[in-house]
Amino acid sequence: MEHNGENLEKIRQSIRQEKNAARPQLEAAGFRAKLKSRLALESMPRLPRQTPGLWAFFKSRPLGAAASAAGLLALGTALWFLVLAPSLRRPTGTLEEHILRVLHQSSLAEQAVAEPLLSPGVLNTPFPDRVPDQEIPLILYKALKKLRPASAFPDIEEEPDAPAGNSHDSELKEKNRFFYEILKHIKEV
Amino acid sequence: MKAMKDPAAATSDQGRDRLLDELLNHRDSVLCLCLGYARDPVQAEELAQEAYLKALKSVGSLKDHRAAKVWLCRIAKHTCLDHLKRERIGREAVKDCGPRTIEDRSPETLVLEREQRQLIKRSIQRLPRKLRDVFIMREYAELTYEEIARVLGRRIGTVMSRLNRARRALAGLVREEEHGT
Repeated sequence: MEHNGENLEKIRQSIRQEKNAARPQLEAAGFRAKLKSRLALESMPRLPRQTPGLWAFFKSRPLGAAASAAGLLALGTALWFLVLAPSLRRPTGTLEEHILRVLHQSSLAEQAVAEPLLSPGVLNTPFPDRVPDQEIPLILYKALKKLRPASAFPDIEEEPDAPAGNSHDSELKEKNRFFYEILKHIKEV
Repeated sequence: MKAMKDPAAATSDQGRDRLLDELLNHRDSVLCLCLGYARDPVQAEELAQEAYLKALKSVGSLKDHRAAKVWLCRIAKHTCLDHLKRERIGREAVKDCGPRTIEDRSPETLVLEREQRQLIKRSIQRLPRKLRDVFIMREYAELTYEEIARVLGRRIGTVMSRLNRARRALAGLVREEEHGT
């Protein structure tokens, strides 16, 4: 308790010293003058704050504005090519759905049905990364079956008639060959 | 160009000056109260000025002019607490609250005194808010128990009890700081 009393006396003495040190701030005249000037400032009518419009900015700094616009355009273009465009191009859904979509869009003849499957972006889509290789033919088969009735499928063992003739015919033959290759592979699976 | 002020404005200016003088009678109490919360005398003066500005703006809420001191102290206390909250100076180390005048004491004595003041100031800042408010009002602003009770809106008994607790807690904190340093 005595210790507390000593400490309290020390505290009071310290507060007295602090207040003495603050005497200059306690001077009435200075305090009043400062307060009056602050009051005068506060009571002054304030001008409405004007925010510079976009047009004013363009008018005052044409070069800066042009540079800003060019920069924004460049940034937008870069953003489009790097982020937005790839994400738009990226197919969504399962591989089967994707193949179906491609085949639906295709107006090619029966023989050329495999062509869309050949084109890059179909089998080379991100899907095969996720689908095991051996499942791809089965998925193709299911997709084709959904598109056409079972009867439309030619006999797998049967080789198509090879129409002899010009280069167009040989191209068709090549497409047919590929188609049957796929179907054979499907049967093996 | 207007060379003369209109009479109504002049009258209101005079009225405001009179009011200001009346409120400035309690300047010492307000300044000392602010000093209790502030880091240094300069900040205390800033806080007191802010409190006076607030008071003059809301002078309409002062019903009884005899209660001006209590009313002002209440505004000053809120101003200081708001400031502490904003600046979080309560958590900062008290850097300097010592006298800056040239004195005839030795530099060692001055340094020791300043360190002691810093230690005590830190301890006051560490007090719980309720206890700190009562302690500052009593020891810095030298308000009576009744005035403190009216500022806080509490009973005199509560004020006395809090003040007793504050003193004991502060003595303990000072001892703790002394042992810690």
